[in-house]
Amino acid sequence: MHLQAIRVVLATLALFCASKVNADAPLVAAQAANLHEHNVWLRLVHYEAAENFANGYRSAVVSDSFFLADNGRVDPGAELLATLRAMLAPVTEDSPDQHAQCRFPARWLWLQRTLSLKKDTYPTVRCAAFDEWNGAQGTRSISFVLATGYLSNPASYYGHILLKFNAPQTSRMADLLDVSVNYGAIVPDQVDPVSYILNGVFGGYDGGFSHIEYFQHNHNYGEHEQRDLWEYELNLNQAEVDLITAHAWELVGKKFRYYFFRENCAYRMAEILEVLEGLEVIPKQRPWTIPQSVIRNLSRAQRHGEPLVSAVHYRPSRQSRLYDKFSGLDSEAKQTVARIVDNPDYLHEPAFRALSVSRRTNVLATLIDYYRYRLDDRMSPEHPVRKAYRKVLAARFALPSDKIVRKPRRPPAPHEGRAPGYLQAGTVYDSALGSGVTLRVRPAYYDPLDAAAGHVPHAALSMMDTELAWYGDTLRIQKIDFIHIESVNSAFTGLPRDRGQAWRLTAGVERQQMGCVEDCLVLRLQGGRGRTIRIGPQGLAGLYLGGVLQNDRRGEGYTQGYVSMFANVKPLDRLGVRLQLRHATSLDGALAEDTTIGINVRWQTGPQSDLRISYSRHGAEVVQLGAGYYW
Amino acid sequence: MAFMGICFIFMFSPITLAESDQPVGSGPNPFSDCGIGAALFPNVHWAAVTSNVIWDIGITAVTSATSSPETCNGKKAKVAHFINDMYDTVVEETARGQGAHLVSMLEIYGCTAASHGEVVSAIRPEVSQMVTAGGYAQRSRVEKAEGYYQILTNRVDSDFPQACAS
Repeated sequence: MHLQAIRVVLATLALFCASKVNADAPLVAAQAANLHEHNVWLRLVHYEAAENFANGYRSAVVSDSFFLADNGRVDPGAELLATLRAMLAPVTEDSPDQHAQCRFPARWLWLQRTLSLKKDTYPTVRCAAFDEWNGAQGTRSISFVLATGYLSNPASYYGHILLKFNAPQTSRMADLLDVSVNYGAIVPDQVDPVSYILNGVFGGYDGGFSHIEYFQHNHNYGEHEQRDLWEYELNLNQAEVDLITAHAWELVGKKFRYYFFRENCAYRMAEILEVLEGLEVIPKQRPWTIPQSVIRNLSRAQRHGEPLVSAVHYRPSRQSRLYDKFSGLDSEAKQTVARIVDNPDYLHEPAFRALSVSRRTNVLATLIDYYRYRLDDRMSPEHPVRKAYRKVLAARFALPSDKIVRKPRRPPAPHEGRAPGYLQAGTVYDSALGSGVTLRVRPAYYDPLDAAAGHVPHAALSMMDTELAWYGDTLRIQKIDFIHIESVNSAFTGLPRDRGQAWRLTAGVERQQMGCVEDCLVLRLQGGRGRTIRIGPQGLAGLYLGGVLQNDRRGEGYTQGYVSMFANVKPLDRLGVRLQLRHATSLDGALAEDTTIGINVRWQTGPQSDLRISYSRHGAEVVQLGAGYYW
Repeated sequence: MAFMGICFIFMFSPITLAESDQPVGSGPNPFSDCGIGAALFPNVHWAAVTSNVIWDIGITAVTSATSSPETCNGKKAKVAHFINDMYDTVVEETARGQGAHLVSMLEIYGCTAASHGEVVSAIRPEVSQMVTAGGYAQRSRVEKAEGYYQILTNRVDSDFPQACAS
């Protein structure tokens, strides 16, 4: 930091002296102060350390239009000088928006301030396109918006972050028109799932920034994908807001190499913010960037002696709004909702019309959310759901306008949840192998017992979840889940299409049986579909039917079919229990039938820690006790 | 054919006939003249169904309303685009009598915040009549959005010209 300040002082002094001599004074000053090595400059142009290049840097931006020097991508000094020359060049009347001051307003802002350029030393350019994008009154503040995870698309498992540029306004309800900037992979049409995953993981796609009014994202995430939106408004002064806004403008339409695990949306958005000196929000020393981790870092950061996050706003998805309204109904109102869903003509029955206006309003509000949740663009106009929705809408029109806007209940926010990684150490007793110690490492993300803020309740999502055990001097791999997903609908309302659909998918290696001594690991791909039902306010039970593809270990065959049941209960707020029963049969091998019983108990000992005990029987009996820490 | 075409228009879009009564210079019909109608989120390939994926990096999708109504970049065209894109939600909020999308729509229109409630109350009965009319379900999304747009603009022009003048 002191070095940066010294550079700025030197630049100012050099400029003062040089300005007495020639018009290239700013360039001379910039060179004298080695401004091309300044952190802000390096971040504005997204330079990364690259030992293979002569100047030690290469920009992560792959679009040629982002650079003003021919070798600007690998030469910060050349790019700085080319930028300065372009900034100071005369403006052409027919295309002022193409002037460097308009194409790179953030660079211009920073150079002006750092070099203390005087107004009579550079042309005044009116950047109509940037001014229009930034709005007549400019940007008041900037928000990070987190869309919670979505288990129906691999690109969205861990959530998504976009930036929102908040215009000055008097009401929170008017922010749908704010500009939002998004970053994601540019995926061609007609790509198959395998190519999609491989290219996304290994940098086969370009990533790019785009912009659109926020209401489009609100609609897509909230209505189509049923993902909640959490907006974290940042406490930045106007100069900082202007710099970030200008930099976002510079990046719109520019491309990077996209990497799903590390240099993804969360990374790039945090990178924009880190243009501000002294701000570090990208999780360091990790080969991955999880959106929730960036949000947690934001919530812990300070700026100008105050929290960086000034406010958190919650925008629930349609599904969340439905569940919230439904939970607020008494049992009689819930029965009325169910009756209308069963027979929409009940809306015209005297029994319904006799209800008070407020009661009918609440029932209809719930039904509107229910039918909007169910509506699909592919439904024809005569689809029963569309017809029913029109009847509900007509009934709502017949009642007075809402007088009071009921705010939805706000669940725990993502930044209030635990860290995404899990490390557990413990002991194990295997009735066939004896006693041992265990180590479990789960880089991300959650299981049915510890799904928390921002996660899907009772669901599971993990990658490279690894369990090891040492029995004496012998190290054994208990399992490695390359990927494990369990997507469940919690059947909150019990209404049609909200009745507990579930599916699961696991790919990994695991011990063929407990107590197995040699030749134990089997590679398995397992999938299943099922249904769930609610048990109590926080419990869920379910049944799966599924199949397994595996390598043929000890004559068990390549395929299995299975039926499994589970029940998750939460006797106390910090205590969760999961019971599992699975019965498998080989479809082409020697294994006749195979039953696994498991009980897992989790006690949350602290915000980032837990204690787990489990019992399982599958060949042998195994009891495990482990202490876990979230990181 | 021309007679049937006229009858078709009369039967399904009676409100649009009023367009000939619009003051000169009030601008084009955005729905017919400005290409409104393409779905923003069409049925795309499965990999692009989440907006985590960029589906068109080249689009400059952000524009601000100007005060000139005569062009497809004017505020009325912006209002028309918004209604078309968010039609189901706009109608839902009109049924409820309030909502963030109505506020946004009227902000684009340039209506003062103080006038929002009155404008919504004014158009609500006509919108109700439109969505409960025979044949409504068979109208295309664009036709429905155009119907809503006509109700809104007619009511604003007649009853709230000053409140929505900015």
